[in-house]
Amino acid sequence: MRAVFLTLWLGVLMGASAAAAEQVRIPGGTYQPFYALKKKQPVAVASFALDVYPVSNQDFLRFVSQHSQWQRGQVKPIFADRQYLQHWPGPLQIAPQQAKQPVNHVSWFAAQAYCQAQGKKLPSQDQWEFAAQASETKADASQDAHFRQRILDWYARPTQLATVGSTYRNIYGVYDLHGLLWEWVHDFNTVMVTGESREDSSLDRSLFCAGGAVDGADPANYAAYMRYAFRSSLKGNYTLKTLGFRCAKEIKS
Amino acid sequence: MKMYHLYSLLLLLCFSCNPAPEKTGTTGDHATDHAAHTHHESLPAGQPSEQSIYALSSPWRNQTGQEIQLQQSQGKIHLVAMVYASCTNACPRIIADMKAIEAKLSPQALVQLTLISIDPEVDTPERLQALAQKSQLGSRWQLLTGEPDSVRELAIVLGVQYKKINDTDYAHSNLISVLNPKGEIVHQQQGLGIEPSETIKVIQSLHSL
Repeated sequence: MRAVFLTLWLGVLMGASAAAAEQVRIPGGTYQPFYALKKKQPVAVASFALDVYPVSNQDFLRFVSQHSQWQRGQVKPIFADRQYLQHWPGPLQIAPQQAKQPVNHVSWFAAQAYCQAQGKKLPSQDQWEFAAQASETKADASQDAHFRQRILDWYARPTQLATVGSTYRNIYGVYDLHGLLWEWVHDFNTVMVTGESREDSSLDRSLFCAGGAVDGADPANYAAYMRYAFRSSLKGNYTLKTLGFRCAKEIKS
Repeated sequence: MKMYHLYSLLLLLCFSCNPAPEKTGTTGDHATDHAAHTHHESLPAGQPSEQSIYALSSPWRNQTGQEIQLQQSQGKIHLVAMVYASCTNACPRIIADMKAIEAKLSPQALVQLTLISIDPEVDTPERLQALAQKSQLGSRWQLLTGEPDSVRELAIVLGVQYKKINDTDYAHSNLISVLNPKGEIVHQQQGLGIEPSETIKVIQSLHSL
């Protein structure tokens, strides 16, 4: 068994999968974020590059084998909690079936360090949401009831990690933005949802300067509400079974 | 033994003001048990620990243009808040709250007060110097600006949320963090115009450690 892991590990080190770094250009545009500054005020997103697939365990193993400070057991708890990479058999071992699964149990700090090591960074919340509102056939499927329902159906299912690229490919050629696992965004801590209610009290105005300026724009988009609420519950060192990431890169115009 | 009890009390204080987030009805397992994971090693005062925010190595620039590392405040009790210079509403009140805490401490106390700009592209050292003068901040204060990514990273470590809402303004948490000499967050005062007695009690207990 050990030999299997070792072989796999060496294989990973030598024959890096080309898919790991593959990115596509997401042409810029405007979109209506769920939490808008003013209702119905669209936000502009500049063109950017986004990873085609979520980062896999195999990709992440290659990273930690080259950056020992991000290995399980080495990382400081302020940057990753105790669940960090707990699903791996060892700090530098993954099970064969994990290779193509998206990496989970990673913190924001580890995800950001991974992206930086490749000259990339985590996508901003606007970039991620903009790319993720595209279906197979439409750049903006945010009003498509079928597309919305499919996302909600996935949210309702218990987590069973499939391999990267196994869900759907959107119109830009990006896979798995919904349907596999949740993904870190660079500015996840911009979301100011402090209550459970979808009404007025979802923002605790006394705690934030100008917090009341940020409001839910589309009450029908419950899937978006869940993503924003989920992000607001996170801290940078949290590592969850349901949370992975992919990287983005700015395109110099 | 007495020290141990005091430390436990501090831990309790820290947790009571820093509750674990609510479950948000997502798939799979969740994060509610994370607060319990916080793990404080007993190290001599002034040594960086596993929970120290001084593990962040980003460079900052203070109001006189000097390059600063947060780690330079190691060994001091450190009060930190994130603000921006053109903020007219909450930030002057956060600064006033920090001054109220400072006023209750002995002038000899080894305390560092730090304001970090969430608007680093606008807040030059000169603008921060002007804010320091306008707010009459003494020699124990430093006002820092840095790279936008460093600001985001520090905000994530401190649990500060912020978002640009128009050309000049930000929505942001009103949070004053107290770091012990190792750089661990031991207390956070959230909100504006909060009666600071609890925060002062925490700072004084750090002094007697």
